[in-house]
Amino acid sequence: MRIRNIPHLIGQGFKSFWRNGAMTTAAILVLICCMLVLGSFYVIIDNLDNFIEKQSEEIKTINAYVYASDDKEELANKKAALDALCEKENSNIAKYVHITKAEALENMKNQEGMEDVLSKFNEDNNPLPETFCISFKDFDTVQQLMRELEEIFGADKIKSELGMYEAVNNLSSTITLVGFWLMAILLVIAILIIMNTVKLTVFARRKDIAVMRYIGATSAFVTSPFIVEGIIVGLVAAIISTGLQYYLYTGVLADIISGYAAIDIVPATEYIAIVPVAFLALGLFAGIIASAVSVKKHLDV
Amino acid sequence: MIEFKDVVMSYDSDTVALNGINLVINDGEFVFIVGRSGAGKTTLTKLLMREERISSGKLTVDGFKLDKMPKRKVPYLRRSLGVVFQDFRLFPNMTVYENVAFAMRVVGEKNSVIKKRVPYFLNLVELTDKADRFPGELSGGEQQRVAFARAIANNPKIVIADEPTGNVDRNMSLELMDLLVRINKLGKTVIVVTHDMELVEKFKKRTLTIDDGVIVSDKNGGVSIED
Repeated sequence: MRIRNIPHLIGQGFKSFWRNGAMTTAAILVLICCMLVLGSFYVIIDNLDNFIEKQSEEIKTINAYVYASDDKEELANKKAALDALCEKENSNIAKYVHITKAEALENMKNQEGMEDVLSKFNEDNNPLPETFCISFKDFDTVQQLMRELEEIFGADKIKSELGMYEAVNNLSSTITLVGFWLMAILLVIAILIIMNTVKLTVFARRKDIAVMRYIGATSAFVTSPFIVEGIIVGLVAAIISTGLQYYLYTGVLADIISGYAAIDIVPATEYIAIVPVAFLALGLFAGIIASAVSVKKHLDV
Repeated sequence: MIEFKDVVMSYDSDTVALNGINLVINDGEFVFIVGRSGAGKTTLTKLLMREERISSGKLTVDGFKLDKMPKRKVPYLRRSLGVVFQDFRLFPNMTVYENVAFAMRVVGEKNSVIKKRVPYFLNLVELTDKADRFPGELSGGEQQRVAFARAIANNPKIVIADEPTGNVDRNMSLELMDLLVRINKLGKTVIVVTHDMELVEKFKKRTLTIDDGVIVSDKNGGVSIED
């Protein structure tokens, strides 16, 4: 293929795109449908995963209590031991928050309907303990941390939701895994549908391809305009899908997702880096590969 | 020059389309190929275009040895041929001008040359005023003239016309044949496959008759309907 032919072949791809309006529109619509199904599925799974991750972060803590809070020295010793544990090399403690018994009482009183019940308690007869809310980094080595904390605070003064955390964590992993495979299956189905649609558009022009071959066009010369057309179809579908996906997410999906549970919706801006790029990649891949493969079938004349 | 030496072409072991063809067509000749349906006329043109491969023997077309030629060289062979089909085979989504220009683009012709030569060919086939029309807007005869213009656009040495008058009326058939004679006078070898014996009789050119895959007669000066 000669270099001087390249502008012509690109132009030919554009012309072909317009002149085969019905077929290219059909291909674009199929691509948009596939992209929207994939995109919507992705944002739903991601929101669910994000929600579960947030929940698990909230229970990713171990609470250690000190009841003998009047003994200032003991409290200081335990806090110092906890600080030492934090500073230890490869410490599994991400951070800890110290909630004094006064703060704990205040927090409880602030809860709805609790003020009256707790009105008789004050600084002098506060029954609540001093609390250290310790966030851990790694679930796999958390038992070691538990033992170290038990040594400092005593076994009966340690409370955690490790069982719950593990269950939530497993749920999150399962959703990620199932989501991944469902996405992969959907992607394969989408690619097959798109390829079949492009195949149909090429099949409709198989006679043109044959004539091109009869008058001496090389394979590259015949294939190039179809690939340019495939790129345009993929590009147009990706742009339209991105816009539609945005409105679908902010206008419909977000309401549906938050309607089922008190989920903080992931802002649409979070998806700017991934969804359009994924649509573009899918559109271009499907457009180029499907065109090239489909044309190749009709080149042999 | 075109040379067939003991050419056999069979689609499968039971169907021999051409059997032991020996034939030489020299540069600048005008040759009719006639015969009843299924005699092997179209197979012969398919071999010339390398649409089908010969089963045995030797076939040379304008220096290309088709019996040994690799697939990748087929486009270059076809560029030395101008082919016209009964059903025109124009690009329906290209204008008349673009259909002719396309053949020139295939060989990598410069834009300036295309702009100069396409109007010349359209003038030759008397379609200058229909350059911007699409094939669907033309009559059968006009479409065939576009196909002729496209076939000679790259100045091929050989023009093959497979039943070129099959889809047009008598007057247009004569006009198209006149056009082929003019193309022949430009020094090109012209091969016309037809079953229209009236045309063969009228134009009195070398005529090959094929029957059951064998050349049964090769006469100069044409044949009469009685033959």
